[in-house]
Amino acid sequence: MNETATNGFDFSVPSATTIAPSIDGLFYTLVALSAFATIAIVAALVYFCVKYRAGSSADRSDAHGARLNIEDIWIAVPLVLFLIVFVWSAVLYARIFTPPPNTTDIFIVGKQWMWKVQHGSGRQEINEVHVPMGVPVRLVMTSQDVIHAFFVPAFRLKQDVLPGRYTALWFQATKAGVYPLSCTEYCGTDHSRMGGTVVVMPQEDYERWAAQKPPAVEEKPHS
Amino acid sequence: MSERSFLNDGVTLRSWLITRDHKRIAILFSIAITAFFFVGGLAATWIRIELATPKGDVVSADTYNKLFTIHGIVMVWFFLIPSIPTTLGNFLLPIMIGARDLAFPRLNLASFYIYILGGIFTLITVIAGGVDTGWTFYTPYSTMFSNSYVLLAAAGVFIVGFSSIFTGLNFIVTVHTMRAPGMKWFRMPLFVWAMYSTSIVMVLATPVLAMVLALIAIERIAGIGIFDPALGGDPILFQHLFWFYSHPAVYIMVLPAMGVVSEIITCFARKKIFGYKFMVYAIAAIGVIGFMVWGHHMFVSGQSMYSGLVFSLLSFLVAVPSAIKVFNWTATLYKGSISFEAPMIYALGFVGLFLIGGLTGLFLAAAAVDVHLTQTYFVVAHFHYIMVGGAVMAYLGGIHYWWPKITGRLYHERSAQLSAALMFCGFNLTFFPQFLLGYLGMPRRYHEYADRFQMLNVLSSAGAVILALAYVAPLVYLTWSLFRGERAPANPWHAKGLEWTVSSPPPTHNFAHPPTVPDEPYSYSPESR
Repeated sequence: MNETATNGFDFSVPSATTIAPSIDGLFYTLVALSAFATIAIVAALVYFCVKYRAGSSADRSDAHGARLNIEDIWIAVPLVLFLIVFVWSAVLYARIFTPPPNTTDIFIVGKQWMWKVQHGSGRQEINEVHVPMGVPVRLVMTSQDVIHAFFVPAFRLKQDVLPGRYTALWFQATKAGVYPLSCTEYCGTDHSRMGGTVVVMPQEDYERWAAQKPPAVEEKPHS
Repeated sequence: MSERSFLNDGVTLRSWLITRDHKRIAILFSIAITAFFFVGGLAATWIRIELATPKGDVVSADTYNKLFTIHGIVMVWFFLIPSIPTTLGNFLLPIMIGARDLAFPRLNLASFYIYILGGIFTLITVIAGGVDTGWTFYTPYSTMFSNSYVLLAAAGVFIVGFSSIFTGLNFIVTVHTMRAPGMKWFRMPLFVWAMYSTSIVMVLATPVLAMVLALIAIERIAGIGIFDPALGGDPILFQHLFWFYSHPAVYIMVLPAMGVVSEIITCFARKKIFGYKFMVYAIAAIGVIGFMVWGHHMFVSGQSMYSGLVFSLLSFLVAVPSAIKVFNWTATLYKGSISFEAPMIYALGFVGLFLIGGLTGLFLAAAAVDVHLTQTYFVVAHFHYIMVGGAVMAYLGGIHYWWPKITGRLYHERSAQLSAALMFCGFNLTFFPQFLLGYLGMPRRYHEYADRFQMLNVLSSAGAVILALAYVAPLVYLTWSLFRGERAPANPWHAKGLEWTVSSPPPTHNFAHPPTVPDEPYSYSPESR
């Protein structure tokens, strides 16, 4: 992870889970469709504006004349495209919501303005989440105070973290590295500082790391 | 002024402040919402200055949070929602249907003073020290954790809601009961249809906002558990109630804009609007389906997967009528005889920005993509394209289009054309980079951000400077025109519609003789230019 390349010009976001390329696939399809629609409609607008500008000699006979059922076409075409995108997105959304059995569970508590993390082995950490690569991981999350949200752009995943109940987020990381983590549900003064990193490591390394005697965890807000 | 008009029928301040003339009330509203627009704009300017650098070096985190909150509250409830209905709607709706006034003139004046009262609460909130919940007032932060003036701000919003309801009610009754002979439903201008549909949404949705704000007050004051789980409440319940109002509220902002743009495009293309009936059905469909999509704000909130899927599907469906409208505006230009006076430039700018706003809405309707994009700058960019690129461009287009009618004066055309073009460019420079920021993962409502996002933020802030100039410019040349502008004829654009048959500015009683409407609207022809 090149956190060093922070010159303000970095227009890429790493892709580090099994779901991330699928989300990107739909995202870029939408970009392509939108670009096509924008270009087509703007081209038509500009063409008509030039050709039919006041005073031009363009043929305007039958301007209000009978037409094909063109409105039926432009209801049907977007509708069909939208339904295809809906189904595609629904399949992915269901995947995001459906963890496989036998996930490695990690427990996370959000509070103003820090993330507290506890691993199955008992090891704890703050504002850093070590996760194993290549196996399904499920984050079981709750909040001690207000609503927070756990967002890792490189994973293309986000989940609100609520007080009084558990929410879960599952993923399978594909690339070792250190990825930024942010709170994205506004939670008060230091909302923009409630972040940290997710550290993806090979499974054996993770096992070893998790089994180590945890260094003392100090509970102080990240700043 | 040579003729008697509503403007010189009584010149005392008192004659303005207790007027029941819909046209004068429209002017009172326009002054008030303009003032609030610049209050909200000042907050936005401050935000963009802070975001020019990644560090929080201009204001403190708390101040920043209060700035984006007041920006949202003021722009949504004190500018965007009342903008077109209370000004252009108030002024034009009765004239466009051939009526003498709105059905309830006193209620109309009450709507204005309720708006002012709500506005006073909001200004007091700012002076007292501000509110930091975001305009969305999410619980339990707003009820149990925020140390700012939540109740004062909520009271302002609660109160101004009644202004919406009164105006909406007034419009509905007026359209049903006061149409001139021959003004059948399908002869109504699309602007009237848009006002009618918007009014229904206002009357049905706003009470839910009032309820949810009252529930916040109950939890915050009495500690009765409604939303905070620590007290036995459910924070998701708040989101459902809030968005049940606040999503339709988007249509309260954009339906009137669509109405204005339909009037302008057909006039300057000299061509009957393409597919009038489809346009009407599209307005109605947006109004109805718009009530059933609120859950698309909550795809990662913890609501069930199945709810998410249903809301996703409905959100795609609501995009269809919007697409129809864009196609029909484009088709209206076909074989027209198009000229590019300022209102037309604003209207074409609206179509372009609304197109991008609408298409990016599809990204957010696709639930799986929304999981990545929601709560980031992508969403900020998307809704600014709809509400600022869309609704504000249309509002200003409408103000320019009907300015000669309302004031009896002509503004400096070239200045107006230039500022419309400047606004379009400044807007895109401000908000387009935010789509990229969102995809790259920059969360919204962030006082500080990672260094890698700086480049795009600097572009956005630079665009905001241009945008600010483009918003100040009309204030200058329109004000100038009030005193020095050429006198306007009754129908400077050679437009169709009853409002152009009366003098500019219109007489107090609108019509000397009640008009009759023999025909369908928009009998333009490209040959007639």
